[in-house]
Amino acid sequence: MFKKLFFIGLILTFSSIFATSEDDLLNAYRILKKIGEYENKKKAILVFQKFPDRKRVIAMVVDLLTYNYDNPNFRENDQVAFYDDVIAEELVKILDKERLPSNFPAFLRIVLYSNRHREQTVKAAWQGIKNIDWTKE
Amino acid sequence: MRFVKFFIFVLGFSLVLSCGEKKAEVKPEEKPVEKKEVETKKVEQEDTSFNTVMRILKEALDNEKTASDSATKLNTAKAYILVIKFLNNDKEKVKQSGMTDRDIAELKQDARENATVRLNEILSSPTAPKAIKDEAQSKLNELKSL
Repeated sequence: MFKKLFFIGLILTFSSIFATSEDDLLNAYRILKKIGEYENKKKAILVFQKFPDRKRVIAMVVDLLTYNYDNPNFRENDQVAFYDDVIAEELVKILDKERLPSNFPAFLRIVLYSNRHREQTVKAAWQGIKNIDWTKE
Repeated sequence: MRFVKFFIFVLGFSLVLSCGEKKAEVKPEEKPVEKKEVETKKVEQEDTSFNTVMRILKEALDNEKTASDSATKLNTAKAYILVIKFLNNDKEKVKQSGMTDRDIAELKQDARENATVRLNEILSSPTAPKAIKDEAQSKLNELKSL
């Protein structure tokens, strides 16, 4: 009996350490909405990659790409804008993995305004458009 | 007798002429058929399916990275116009991608802005050839109607 409880406690402890909680997701979303903070954003991207409710993550990523990572004043020699766009590329890759038709508007916006992103991000968006599985829902 | 021969000659000649005239009347009827063929070709070129529009847009934007002449700008503007037509016509894909009316309006506005900038650049360019300027003007008019 004591052994069983010990193992349950052990599993709960590990899962609480490694599992990504709702709070982690919301915190990651809040960080990704900011400008700059590249190192924190890299950690937030990891949370987005791990979170099990993919539909929620996708909705957040589409929102971020549309409203927070579409920079009309983008310049490659602006360090903050440059590293923010590295994060945008990672967000595009998260969407690309899902291959959902609902990713299309975010990808199309990136390729329409290709001068607002690095070439790598635009390439990733084109790849995403190519990879969309239109039979998915 | 000479008069009879002359009369037969005139009669024959007038018959030849009248037959000739009939043949000449047939020719103009053939021309509209050719026009119809040209019109159908134009319709065939206007393919607004997803794969075609995306391929044309990608090619146009890639070309713009290495060239900035008026012909290249015109091609890119045409590609943006095709995007608007795709968003207007391909209801199935638009619905599948879950675009709201606001999304569609914004994306069409983005494409319209990008096309207009390029077409205005061509029209204000002192070096752009007249034929390209004329086409740019007609595309600008088309854009207003979309």
